[in-house]
Amino acid sequence: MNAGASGWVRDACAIVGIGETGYSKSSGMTTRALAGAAIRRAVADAGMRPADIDGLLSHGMNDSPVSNLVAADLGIRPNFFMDCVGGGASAEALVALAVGLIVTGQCRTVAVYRAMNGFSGTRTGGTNRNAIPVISGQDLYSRPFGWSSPAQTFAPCFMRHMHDFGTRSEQAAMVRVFQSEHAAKNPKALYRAPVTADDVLSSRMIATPLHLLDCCVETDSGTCLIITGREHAHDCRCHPVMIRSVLGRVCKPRNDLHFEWGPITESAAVYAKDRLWAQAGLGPDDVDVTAAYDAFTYTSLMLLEDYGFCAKGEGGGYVSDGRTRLGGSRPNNTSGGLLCEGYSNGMNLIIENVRQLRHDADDGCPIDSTGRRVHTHDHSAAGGCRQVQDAEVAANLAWGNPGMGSASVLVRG
Amino acid sequence: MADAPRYLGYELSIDPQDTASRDFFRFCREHQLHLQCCGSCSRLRYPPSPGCPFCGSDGYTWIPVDGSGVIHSYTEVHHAVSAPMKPFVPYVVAIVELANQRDDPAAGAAIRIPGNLVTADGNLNIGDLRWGIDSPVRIVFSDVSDEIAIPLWTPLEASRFIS
Repeated sequence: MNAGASGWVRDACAIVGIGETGYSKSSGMTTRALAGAAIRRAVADAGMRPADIDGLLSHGMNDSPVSNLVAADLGIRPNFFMDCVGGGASAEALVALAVGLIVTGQCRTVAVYRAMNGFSGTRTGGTNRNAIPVISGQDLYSRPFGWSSPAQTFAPCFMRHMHDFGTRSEQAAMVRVFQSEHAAKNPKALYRAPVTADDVLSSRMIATPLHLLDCCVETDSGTCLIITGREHAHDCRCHPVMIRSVLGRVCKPRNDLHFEWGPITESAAVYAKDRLWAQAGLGPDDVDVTAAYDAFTYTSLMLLEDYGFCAKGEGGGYVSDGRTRLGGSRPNNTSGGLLCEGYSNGMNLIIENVRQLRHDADDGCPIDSTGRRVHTHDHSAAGGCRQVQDAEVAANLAWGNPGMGSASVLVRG
Repeated sequence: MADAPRYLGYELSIDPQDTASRDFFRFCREHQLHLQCCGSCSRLRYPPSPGCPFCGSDGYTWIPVDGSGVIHSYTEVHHAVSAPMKPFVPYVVAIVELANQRDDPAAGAAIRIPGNLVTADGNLNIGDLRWGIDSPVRIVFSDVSDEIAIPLWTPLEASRFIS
């Protein structure tokens, strides 16, 4: 199949419900309970009942309950349930599957969820329960070198990016700086204290060039999206957000250790870009707000380049000159993102963009007598507003590893 | 049954069905770098895999390859997440690019083999050796068992200095 929009069902489905349990280092709940809580909240947000859900899609890294168990906890008997293996870049993959289930009539309304005790349970970096060092299979080619965590294995991409393009750690640090400002306007965020570039650069080194504050922290959280067909979307409680385009999972021609297929300064996004925008009938210039996967400061930078928001090699300037800050021309990760709000393998980045497109960011702005939040669009520290004014188009740019990614374009319905 | 092979406190286990890994590490144990060469398009590939990523063919032979290259990129790890590596921080993981097959079959493609940067005798503490992106390196092997050695990289000038 050639890249292009042929056959894609633009705006056929909408995200009509979002649910979060909160982001913490200790949920005090099983992932099964977290999943149920997130789905209940998302269903209520959509103005539905659990029985209205007939599809469940989830992802995990052997750290999460299978969705038929979760379905029973909610009194749902699904027509389709599926649990896929994966972390980052999985949320959009499940959104893409949900669209397929709905437009082919296999399901009416699908819950996409992720439940993880990312801090108190299984750490992505291979500590805690995954720490037993028996190495076999593909891991024989990486783990004997003490090369296993995402920070360790992705870092050579960023080092080469600095070498080839002159990207500086001070520039990448601004991803964290701006997002910490955004998180200060987000009562749910795990890290709400503003940080400076010096704070990032003086934090301890993890794996060059990544300092501690260049890295997100795996988080305990349950998150859920409710997706239904366009014909039902306006019956729901909240303003619908249409799925304009989605690329489920795209990978480089080879992906074993991330570095077989260069340039290593490019992510798999370069294989997704043309199709994403062709399906959307839109381009980067049409986008009001981005959520570029920020497991690390540099991942956000590389993704924004690779999806065409700036030229290759100019990501350092793009993320540091103020454009991506609230009040800038195209804010990025307005919730504080994975770096500051919490890490949910990217589900919370989609949830935030849904809020933005509803014009209903849950910030500190006053709530009127009808219960509606009145946004001031004063993005100063004192103003506390994180709603992007008149946001109509949002892009989610996700990263699984340097060789695997996914993306979506969402529009206000 | 002999004890499981161990390297730096890691237990290594090659699945009996994983014949490609078995063969690769046996060649390493002979202190030779061998790579799979596709029986159809003749391209080399790493890490070992059952099918050719360039043409999809499943036939291959092992051929000896010169174990020298340059550092394409690297990271110096200061935070070891697994216990066996904690005594060695900071240590370096280098992505070493071989001269064979550079920009084949597409610009930016190359045979790239990650591994620790070590002294010529395999020490992870490389002290004040001078190296960086584009530095030439050569392969060295750390013996683990009769069947397995781990491939590592050492800076060329350093190896000359030590010998």
